[in-house]
Amino acid sequence: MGGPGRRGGTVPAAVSQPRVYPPEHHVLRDLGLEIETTADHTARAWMDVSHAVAAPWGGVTAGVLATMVDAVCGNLAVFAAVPDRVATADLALTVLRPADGPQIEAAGRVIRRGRTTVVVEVELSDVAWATATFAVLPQRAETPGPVVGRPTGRRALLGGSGRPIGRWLGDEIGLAVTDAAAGALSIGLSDYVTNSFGALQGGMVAFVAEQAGATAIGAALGAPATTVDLHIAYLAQCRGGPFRTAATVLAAGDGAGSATVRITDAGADDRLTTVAHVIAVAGGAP
Amino acid sequence: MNPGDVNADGVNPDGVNPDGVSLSGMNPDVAELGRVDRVIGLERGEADGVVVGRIPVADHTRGPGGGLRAGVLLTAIDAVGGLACGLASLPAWIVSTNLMVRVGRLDHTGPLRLQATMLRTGKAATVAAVSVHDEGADDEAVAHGILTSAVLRPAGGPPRLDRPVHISPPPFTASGALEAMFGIEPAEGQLTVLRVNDSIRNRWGILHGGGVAVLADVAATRAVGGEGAAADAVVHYLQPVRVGPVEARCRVAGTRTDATVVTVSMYDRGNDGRQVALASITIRRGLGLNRSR
Repeated sequence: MGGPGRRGGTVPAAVSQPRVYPPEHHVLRDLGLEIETTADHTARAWMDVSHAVAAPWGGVTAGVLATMVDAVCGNLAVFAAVPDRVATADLALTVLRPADGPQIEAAGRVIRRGRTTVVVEVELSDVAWATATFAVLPQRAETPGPVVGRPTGRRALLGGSGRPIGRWLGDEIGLAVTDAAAGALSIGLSDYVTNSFGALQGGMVAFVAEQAGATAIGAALGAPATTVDLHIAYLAQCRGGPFRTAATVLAAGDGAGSATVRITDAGADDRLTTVAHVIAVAGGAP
Repeated sequence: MNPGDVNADGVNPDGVNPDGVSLSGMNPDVAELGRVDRVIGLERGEADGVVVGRIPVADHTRGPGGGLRAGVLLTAIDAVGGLACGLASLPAWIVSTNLMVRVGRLDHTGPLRLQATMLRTGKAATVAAVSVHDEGADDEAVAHGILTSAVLRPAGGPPRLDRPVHISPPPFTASGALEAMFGIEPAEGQLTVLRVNDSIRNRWGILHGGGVAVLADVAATRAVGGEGAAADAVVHYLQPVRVGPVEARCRVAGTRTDATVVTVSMYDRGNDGRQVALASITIRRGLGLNRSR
């Protein structure tokens, strides 16, 4: 499961935290995410489109869209679960068309707050549709939940402004390809990509997974491939590192393919932390 | 009613199906587990420590892509993955919360073999991956699914199961379309409804997750005018369906060159119209229908 409790998507002003999160130099700040959460369990978010987050055919790569979804959903889930904590269980994203505008707008809503789960739906300005499920972790005396205030209803930069990312995001976070055909990528853990509990942030897990799947599918197709469909099952936090991916291409042909991606934590006895499914297409826009 | 039909009478709680044939002398709990299996022709059980299933591609379960239709595939994944999650959670049991499938090929020869692998066994939730191979096509991998379940302790305890578990209902003689067996029919406009019958309820009287999946498949396909075949899907089970009918409302979220994405919101009309499920169904068209290796 992803990180419990406070998440990267939480508006800082609403949450009492032991330290500032995200820290001053953090990918969520640099992506320039702005979020507005209201008391009716809905939220909106905005993110500028730049070369740093572009997919091979243009638009925004699915992993970054998933990062935006994770932020919006996490924000809503934390508020919906009070006084309990939440942990990301899974995230599904379907890209409908390239995000060709200067900015993406997301609209999220809680569609279910149950005893054990919170389910959130997000639409991203006609370019993608996504859902995420969070496990509700009952509040316990020994592990008190976060102190969460009311939604501010105010548009605010996530963590405050960062600095523009001047190069491809994968390079910025230290993602390295070791074997494209096998979808073998690796990334270390740094403060730049952690969540508030010091593990790899859920959106970055999604980004790494979809890059691994698209890389393997692209190798099978013989052309760069872009993810159009992504499903992530978060099994355990990525706490150690480096984290390594391995992809199995389920099928590839007719300019498209699908793959299963596993992420293991080399710093935790190669523990399986994440299983993802990726569908990617080669060439032009989906 | 013709022999073999499954209608509102469905399979009786004592394990006797409508045409009076006992379900292989199974104990009632196993017979209840096997209700939906019989409708789709699924056989499942434990083998060498893992849960596997086998399902033929029959006329009534074949989709527009030429193989097992997505809703039936989801039902089978739910059943195989659910059994694995349930056994891993004993003495508790489980209820499906999320179901996902990504399809490589839609033109299956069959039978398809499903094998579950436990990814996570927690106190509150379990996660199983289910791989699907086409035994009639050189054992090619054709789909992969993930089932997430919530762990619960049902009143009366878990099903009484003899280990290793083997659920093998007698062959079902289909006399109609899959939609009729699941009680699914078109309604006004873009609405599609499912009238809950006993053959698709589980042992706690709740609509089987496969019923919701088949409804989502049928409704989404109908929403795009029957063009293409449902393939990749995500189903969120939000509330149990206890009454019905279940109403499916579709919205075309967007269209790509290879597919149309339809979201399906489902509501239990007989239970204050509360939302019970949300699904995303990708309808593939034309050349993109199959992705060969």
